[in-house]
Amino acid sequence: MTDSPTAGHRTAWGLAGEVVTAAVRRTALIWLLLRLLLALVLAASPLGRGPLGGWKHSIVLVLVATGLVLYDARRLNERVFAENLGLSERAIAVVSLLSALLLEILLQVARPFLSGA
Amino acid sequence: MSPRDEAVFTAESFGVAFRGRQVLKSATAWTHAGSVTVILGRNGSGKTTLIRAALGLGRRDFGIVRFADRAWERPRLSTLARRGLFYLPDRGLLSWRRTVDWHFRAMSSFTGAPIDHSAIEGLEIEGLRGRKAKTMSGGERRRAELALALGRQPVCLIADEPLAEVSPRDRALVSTAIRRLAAQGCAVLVTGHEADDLLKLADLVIWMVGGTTHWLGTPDEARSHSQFRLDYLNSPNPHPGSGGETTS
Repeated sequence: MTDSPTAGHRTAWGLAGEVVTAAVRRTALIWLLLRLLLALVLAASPLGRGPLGGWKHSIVLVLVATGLVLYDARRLNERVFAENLGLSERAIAVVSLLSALLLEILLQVARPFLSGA
Repeated sequence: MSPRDEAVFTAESFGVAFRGRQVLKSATAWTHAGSVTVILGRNGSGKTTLIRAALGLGRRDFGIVRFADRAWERPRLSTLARRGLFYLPDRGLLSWRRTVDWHFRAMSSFTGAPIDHSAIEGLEIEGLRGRKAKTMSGGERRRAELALALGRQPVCLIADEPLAEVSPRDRALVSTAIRRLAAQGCAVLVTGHEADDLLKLADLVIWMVGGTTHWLGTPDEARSHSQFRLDYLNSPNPHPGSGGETTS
């Protein structure tokens, strides 16, 4: 048996990551389609060229991604398990936001290479 | 003395409406240390809605939770769990991609408390520990989920339909494990439709009908309640008029 208090080395962030990973796996395709649609709408609208242009455009996309992941996570077994251990919704929300932010940064960094190819 | 006095967990006067339809009007459920309270009611009567609302997992229009010597106006599962509550949902608790052992390790590591292996003896999960949830049958998953709940040594266990889609043999294992947990002092609240098994398991019975709850008393008192027999058990009372009074 390996059930000592330190055996799993699972932290609160690790558990929150487990919930978010499960939600991201389920919502990845929806998110890609939504992102494409939102990017097209923002690019074509005065909002996207004005108040929501440039980096603000990315913030909108990050917030939408976070909302999508959090909404999906509500129904996951992983979330009920994590909450049963006392993991707060706030921790899950923070990890969702950080994940969406990281993905957006990676996409922005990769964009010149992707468009060049 | 009110039947709710000294309850460990009470979900009090819950009301929930969905799109104008009042699903719960004033539903109340409770359980005491060392006893098993069973909520029975027809499909759609609001059993799961009450539990989810009381744990902050679903919509709640009004109602409060009393647990751990406090009244919670906006209860959250994570907050209640930190004070010793464990919730076994009807739809599943295990991550499908992870083994049962992973869940035990995560629990032990996160809470900092060792798993109580004596509590999970008898659930026959030794052969399941290395398996992922997606490779198990419904009954095997239920046993593994209950083992997690028991290993946590909760002050209060709320189990939504723990006997659903479970074979008679597994049902007996799960019932015995729940009974043993209660014998160790845990307050248990259970729902389901397996009336015979649940009435054997129960110390107290609450009947949910029309969005509200009626306290029926002990299983014997519930069985002798003419309206309950007729409307829920579908077993007409051979002695009309011998039923007890309902207490909201």
